[in-house]
Amino acid sequence: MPLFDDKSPMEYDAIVVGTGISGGWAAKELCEKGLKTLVLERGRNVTHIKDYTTMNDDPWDLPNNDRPSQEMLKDYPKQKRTGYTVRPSHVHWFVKDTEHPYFEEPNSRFDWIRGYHVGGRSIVWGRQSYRWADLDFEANAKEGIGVDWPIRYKDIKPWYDYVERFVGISGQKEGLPQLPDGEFLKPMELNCVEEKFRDSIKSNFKERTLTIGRTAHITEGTKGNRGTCQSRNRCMRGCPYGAYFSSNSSTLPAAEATGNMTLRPDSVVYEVVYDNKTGKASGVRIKDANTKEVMEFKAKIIFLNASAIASTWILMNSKSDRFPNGMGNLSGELGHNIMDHHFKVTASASVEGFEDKYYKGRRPNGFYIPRFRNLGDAATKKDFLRGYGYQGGASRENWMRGVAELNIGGNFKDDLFKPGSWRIGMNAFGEILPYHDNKMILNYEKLDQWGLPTITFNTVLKENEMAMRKDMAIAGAEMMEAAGFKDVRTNDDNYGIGLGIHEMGTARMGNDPKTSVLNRWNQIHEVKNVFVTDGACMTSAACVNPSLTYMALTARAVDFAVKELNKRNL
Amino acid sequence: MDRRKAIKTISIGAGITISMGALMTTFSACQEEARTMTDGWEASFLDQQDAILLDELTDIILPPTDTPGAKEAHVIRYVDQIIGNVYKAKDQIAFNEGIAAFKAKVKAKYHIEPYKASREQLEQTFATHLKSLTDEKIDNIKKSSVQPYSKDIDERSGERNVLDEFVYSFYRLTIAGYYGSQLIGTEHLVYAPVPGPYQGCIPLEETNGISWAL
Repeated sequence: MPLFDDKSPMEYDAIVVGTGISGGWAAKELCEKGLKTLVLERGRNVTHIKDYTTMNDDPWDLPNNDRPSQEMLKDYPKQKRTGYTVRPSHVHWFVKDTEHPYFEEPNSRFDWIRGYHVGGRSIVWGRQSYRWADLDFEANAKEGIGVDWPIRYKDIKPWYDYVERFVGISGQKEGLPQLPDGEFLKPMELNCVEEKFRDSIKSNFKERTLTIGRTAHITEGTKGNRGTCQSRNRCMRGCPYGAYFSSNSSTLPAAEATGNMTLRPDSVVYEVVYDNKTGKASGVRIKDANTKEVMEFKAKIIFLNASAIASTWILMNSKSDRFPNGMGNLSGELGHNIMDHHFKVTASASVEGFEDKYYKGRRPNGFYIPRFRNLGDAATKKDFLRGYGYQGGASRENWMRGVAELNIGGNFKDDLFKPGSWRIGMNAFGEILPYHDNKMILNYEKLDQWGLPTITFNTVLKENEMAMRKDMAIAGAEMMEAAGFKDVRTNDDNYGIGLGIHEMGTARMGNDPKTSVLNRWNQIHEVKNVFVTDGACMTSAACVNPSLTYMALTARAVDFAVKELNKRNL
Repeated sequence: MDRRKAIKTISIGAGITISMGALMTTFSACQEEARTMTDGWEASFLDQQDAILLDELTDIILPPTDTPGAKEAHVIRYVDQIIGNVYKAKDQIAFNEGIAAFKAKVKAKYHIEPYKASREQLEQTFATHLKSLTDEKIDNIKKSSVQPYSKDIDERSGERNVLDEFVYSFYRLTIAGYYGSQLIGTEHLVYAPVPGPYQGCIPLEETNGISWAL
């Protein structure tokens, strides 16, 4: 990567803050349109493949067979809440809470799970990629919740097409209005138990569908230097084949290829500088993460892609006479309306039969049951708003089933070499409504190691989500019962907002500057050369994984920004 | 010291008896020689004498057949590593107390130094206790012992039975450590580090009825 050095200029056509899913896209699009672009990342540099230090490790190669030691956990009291982040194989992609603290109001919980390095969470993301539908874009207006989205599906559809072609999304077309089809690569296979479940759902529940997960993996051929998925399911460590989409494997190399990108890691952006004379932003201020030296970079346009929480933190900390409460915060909505996807309501069962069947490969994907509640007709209407989908999978038990047998000896041991019976499980992911009082505030009493304010969160689940969670368990169980699965169990595990790692909504888009921060082009209403295209911009959450939408919104906003720049409107 | 010598001498005969598979008396069943650790390895968390005893116990749980036993797969190293690094301090203490309770049980039953108990005596004691673990007891173990991961609670809820806990966790660790070992994973389960495109439905015969290692 072309790194910033002593000879690099201090002034650029564009600045991108952040290198995750949306920052990578902003960098690629701006550079490909010919803009000299400075890309700032607060964490360390990461070189694709070379820095994936654990990518080929087997469990026995890793400390404690990849379980976290008590010593390791000490640094991650919040990151460990997921139950999977703190593992020797990928813990280096997550921040140490001891180095990057944040706070929570009493009786409130917010799980801010993140990593500071080039590529951000695009290295560890879940890769599930779904389009939004008009059902989602119209919901706020129809129900009088929050504010109306300033765009509809037709506005974003060409940009979904555009990003999908570059990313490579594998999936199966289903023709569902609530989950529009995309330009898919070959779908991954369902296994035989999942096929049975699909067929049962189709015949027993006419409004419900089971399909293979739509995922950002190359399943046929290659894209540039990216190869086909080998079903190792070690994606979170970084992929030696570049088979899944990340900034490191995909967008940053494309930006680099133009010769227009300068990348500066270790750059903590803490302020967008407002120029009162022009009514625009003149650039950004950073502190070098290591030396703490303050630097100021200038540019014609600025893209904030630091993540829903961090981009908003920068804006809240960008105070001026014009914006005493943070840049673009005349509405008072900046930092409010935090959403996520609530999950961890699960259904699972054992499955009889198929004992002569098995599968090959560790598929980095599962099945998906798209939303089937509140689709706009009487039949699907429930006593809560919006809906949810399930992600799940079936597999055969391994040797650990032996623990329940409380047996010992040679025959017992030899029997455990064989795969056990089949089990199936799924996890519901549901929409959280935008609530003004789910918010973040800057904490000036507890400063971070750069002397900058930390964040205190106040987020709680409300009645609509709790009612939905009950329905998630009931509907999950009834589908499994209908398929004839045995010992069906449901569980509502401990969920805190943020745990879905789909946090969004803190600088929402809207038509009215009095009630929203960004306009229909992701521009700050009052500061037209600042764009926010990460999760902060979201006006509602839908129930599908959001990254694909961030990518499409980013490409769309860059296209608009560059056209405006060329028209001298910025 | 004479007593120890005497036991050794007697045990030589016992070794033969054992290998012939004849019925054993309590008297002749004690260990023929002081056990040593497989491949001379030294434990870092466990007491070395305890580790030698547990090494034997892993091999009692999963003995050699056509496939290696737990000793050959070095399961004791996994157990020592997990208890020493992954378990919380309170669970480590409970585990060691559990070992002590197990040894006391062997001593009470066979009137013998636990380190010198025969494989059969150890097997008897362990298997009997393992089978006594009712669902209720196992639930209590799961409740009272602190999960090493993801839970923030650091207090036990419920009465702790260190012997139950030791037997159950050690049993679990032995199974996880054996099938998760490099030897078993790469040579006895079906090892496919780079499987290629996922195939959702294949006949089980394609793996000869054996599980994938990973």
